[in-house]
Amino acid sequence: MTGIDEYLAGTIERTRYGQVFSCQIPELREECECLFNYLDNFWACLNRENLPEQLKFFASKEKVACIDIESCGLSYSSPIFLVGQVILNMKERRIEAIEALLARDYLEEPAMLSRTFSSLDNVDGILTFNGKSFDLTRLDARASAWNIPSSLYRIDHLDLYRSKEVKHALISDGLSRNDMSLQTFEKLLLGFRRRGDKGGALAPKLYKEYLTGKRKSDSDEKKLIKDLEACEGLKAVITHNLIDTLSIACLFAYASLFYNQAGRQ
Amino acid sequence: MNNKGTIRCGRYKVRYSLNGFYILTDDGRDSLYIPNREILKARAVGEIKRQGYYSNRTRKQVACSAVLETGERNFKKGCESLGIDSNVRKPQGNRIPLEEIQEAIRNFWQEQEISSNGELNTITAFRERYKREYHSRIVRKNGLKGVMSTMEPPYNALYTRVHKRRKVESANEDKVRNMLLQLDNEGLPISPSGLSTSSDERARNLSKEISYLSRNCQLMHRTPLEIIMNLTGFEKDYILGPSVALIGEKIIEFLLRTMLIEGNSLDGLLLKGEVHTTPEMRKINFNGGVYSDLRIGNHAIEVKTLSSHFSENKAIELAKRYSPCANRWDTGELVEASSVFFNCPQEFFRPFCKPIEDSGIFIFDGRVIHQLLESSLLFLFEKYPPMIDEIRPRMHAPHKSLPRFYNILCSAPKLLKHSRQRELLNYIRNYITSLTNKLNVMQNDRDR
Repeated sequence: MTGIDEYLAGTIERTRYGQVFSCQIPELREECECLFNYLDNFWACLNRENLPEQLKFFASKEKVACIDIESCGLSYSSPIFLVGQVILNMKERRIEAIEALLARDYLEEPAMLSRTFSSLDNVDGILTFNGKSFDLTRLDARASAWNIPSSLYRIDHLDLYRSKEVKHALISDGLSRNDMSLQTFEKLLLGFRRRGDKGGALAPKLYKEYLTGKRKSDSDEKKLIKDLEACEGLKAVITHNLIDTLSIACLFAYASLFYNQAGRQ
Repeated sequence: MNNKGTIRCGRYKVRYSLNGFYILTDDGRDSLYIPNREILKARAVGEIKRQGYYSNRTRKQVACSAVLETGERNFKKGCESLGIDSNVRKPQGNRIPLEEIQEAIRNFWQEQEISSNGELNTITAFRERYKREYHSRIVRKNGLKGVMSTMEPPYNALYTRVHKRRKVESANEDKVRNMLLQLDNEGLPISPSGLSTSSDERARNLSKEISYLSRNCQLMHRTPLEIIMNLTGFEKDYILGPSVALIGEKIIEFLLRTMLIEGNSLDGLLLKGEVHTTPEMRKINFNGGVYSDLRIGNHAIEVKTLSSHFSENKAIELAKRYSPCANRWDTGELVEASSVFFNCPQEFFRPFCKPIEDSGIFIFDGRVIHQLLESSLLFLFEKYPPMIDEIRPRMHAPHKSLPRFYNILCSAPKLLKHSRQRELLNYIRNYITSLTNKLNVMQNDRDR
């Protein structure tokens, strides 16, 4: 057992800037059944007429990507190692793709960024949660650090954390103004609880453990165990990231359905 | 009072705020927030009641409060104006008596040694042997000089003989800035620790001047790092990050070690012998002592990671330093041959390097090194995959990623450091160091 590519299912993709690992978590559908069901319900009930301007704008696009990133720290110099995306096909009313792009080491970061931008070229809008001050600014900063052309500025973006309409929907349904995290939304409004979630704050630590895990003095058996533990930790980070992206899609769906119902009443 | 609401008191500017607080500024550089007189007095009195002395913060603020009346910092006058006792001293703890320190000095520098006019032990050696005495509060306050001046002859004149440190009386900010930028252009580290431990004398002198500047800020103490940041305008990440030159050296060391294992030659250059990395073994007796970047047998290796064009003067200096059989190692052997590795494209140095070529020094450019790096990594990746897998931090395809990184290092080393890549540079340095260590172990096993 050496790397995460042998531990998780996925494909190694080659770009101009090197390799990137596009991984899948097969257990995700089972684990987040509630979120998937909610999205199915959303596709069935969506009525674009009653939506406020901002939500209507995104709901009427053909493809929208929900994005969440994990980085090695909060500073601009901290590399990004994971980009999770859920691509929603609004026209055909289905989830088109769920993918996590992982840089298996720091030198795979440019390839990961380039692959992310090339997949974003095919979408018309981006949905994030606090992306205006974190996800997208970090993606942009890292792209300029590696001198990679970024296509982010060409795509319409909606930060659900800052959207007045989304906030209004959440507060009207009983969410506190002081705690508007994705996990609170999932727990209180969707009734979904994450099992064994390690939390985003631990992501940098787990990634660094994966990179620099075992010690020279460890025995072969211990090294193998540590490798496995490190891969397990990284898998938890990827799962957390993908649930976050799904949750962003659900939040958009929730706000849209809220206005649909309000319009009907 | 001017239209910004500030008044000048001596060399300070004072600005009142609405709450009765005021801020001192020193030509816009330093500022200190001082509470109003009642609050300051209440805090000072409280501290005396509670702990019996003023805290450093209170002392500083009381001293600064005298600026309004006298135009300068003065603790006594500040106390007088606030109506508090100035004759309060912080307890000194278990200080070592003066006699004990004098005894230690007498034991360390014997009277006969001093009168014999020979070479005397240094203050650094005294510090190492009598650590406690050296660092005791008395020594700190009066200095070793003060203690010696209280002693009988010949000890009262001893300090002038053993004191060798160049004392920096003043430092010119412009000069320091220019020197910092010059060192940075040469690829040397400009972090405070990098400067003080550098093998370059200019860097060590600069370190002293920076610490002088940091001590002599008029209001608040500034760290040497802050001084460097202010003078150069560089970001913290850039200053503290590993030097790109160091990574360039590590890459060349790795390449040469691989060549030694493979037994290959590089454009007719066949290296043999032990690889020396310690400063003692790398020192060459030229111009008072210079260090080559690496030594293999009696072959000197110099690595240049150029961020700007090379100059003819530098080429002449290199030619003099590394001409075959012209200089000796500090260990006594002759520098039999030497090579210069340029981590940059040819056009950066080719027009200037005639003196180097004429003196018989091997020259290698970035393109050759890139090819060699690719082939060496591929060789290791195919021949010793378990060894590559074991290296931490992990790198998944080093034979592809590292040459790609090397290309960036060659073409834009400065950009690499400026573009918030501190963590990446640390990672690369650690990876190449672990890889080189592995090779070292492998070679040692083979030799045995």
